[in-house]
Amino acid sequence: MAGAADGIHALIEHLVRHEEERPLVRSDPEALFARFGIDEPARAVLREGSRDALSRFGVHGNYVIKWLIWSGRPTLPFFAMSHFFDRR
Amino acid sequence: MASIVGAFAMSHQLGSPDGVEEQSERVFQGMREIGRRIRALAPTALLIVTSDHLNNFSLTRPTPFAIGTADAFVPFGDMGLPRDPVPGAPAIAQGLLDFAAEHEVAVAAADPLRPDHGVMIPLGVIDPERRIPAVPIYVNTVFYPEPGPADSQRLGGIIRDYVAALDTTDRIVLIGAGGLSHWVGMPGEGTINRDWDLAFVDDLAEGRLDVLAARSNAQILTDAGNGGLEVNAWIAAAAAVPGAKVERLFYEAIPEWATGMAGIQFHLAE
Repeated sequence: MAGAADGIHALIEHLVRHEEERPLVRSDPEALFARFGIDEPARAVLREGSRDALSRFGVHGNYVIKWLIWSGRPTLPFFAMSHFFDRR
Repeated sequence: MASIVGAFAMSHQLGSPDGVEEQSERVFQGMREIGRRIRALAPTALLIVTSDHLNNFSLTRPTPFAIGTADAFVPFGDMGLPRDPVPGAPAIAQGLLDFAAEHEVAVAAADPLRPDHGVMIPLGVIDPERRIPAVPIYVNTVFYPEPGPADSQRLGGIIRDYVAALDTTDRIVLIGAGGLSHWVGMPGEGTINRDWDLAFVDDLAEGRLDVLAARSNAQILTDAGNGGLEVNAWIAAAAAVPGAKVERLFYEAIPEWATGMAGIQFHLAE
């Protein structure tokens, strides 16, 4: 059954597979929205929505995390994996 | 004859140590201890039962169970994890796929596959030299409501029976990875259900696997979060080593990591 978040899921899945396009999330999100047929209510939640707003819109939790990271709004602080992996 | 020579379960997350330095270090040292114990067993292959995070699978093609069959994997590289290739075990992987099909358990081949942190945090700590062939086995609870605890228990039985029937001298170590309680990308993120986590490990330790397998994913989702569904990998691992005694190696509830972090060893029955 098609849901309001299906276009968002397709967009995010595309960016999972095409790492080189992830900078567009910040530099030209409207181009991405147009390419994936994202309607205005979905665009609004992608542009400004919080984690919980994205979740309430029906976006899968793992995709919420990715979108917020790529948007520069991560829910957990960045850390250097080398802190651990240099001491394995 | 091949055999499971060791079995473990651990969380597959790490986070910023800032503000939680002592807890962070206890978790990391616990993971390193698991790595040391595994390497001391001299395994010829690792079976890592875990979940993907929609880095390799699509919501348009739900894949509850899958196995990585390649002879090598280039990691996805999320969370800044290294992308150095790691060896696979294609013969073991394909054999397990075929065995599962013969026993009417639907498992897909995951190919191509770039393992994300669900595999690479445990594997990176266990085998930093990238010497031990590994088979990623996915219990993809990202496709909620499937697979559930009963399905995962069944998969664990398939793994057990497959290794027992394998006509090689392989020394297999099994790792269940993920969990424990955490809420991902949804309201409640940062919540940890410490009581639930500890009770889950207690149930494993007391041999109450059937009780765990009788739960529904809906119950786990409510009590332990969408990330908590990853304990299905622990259930699969436990089902592969019936009668094992559980040694608790670490548990830390770290809200700053949004995860209840745990690691155990299953000491195999004689």
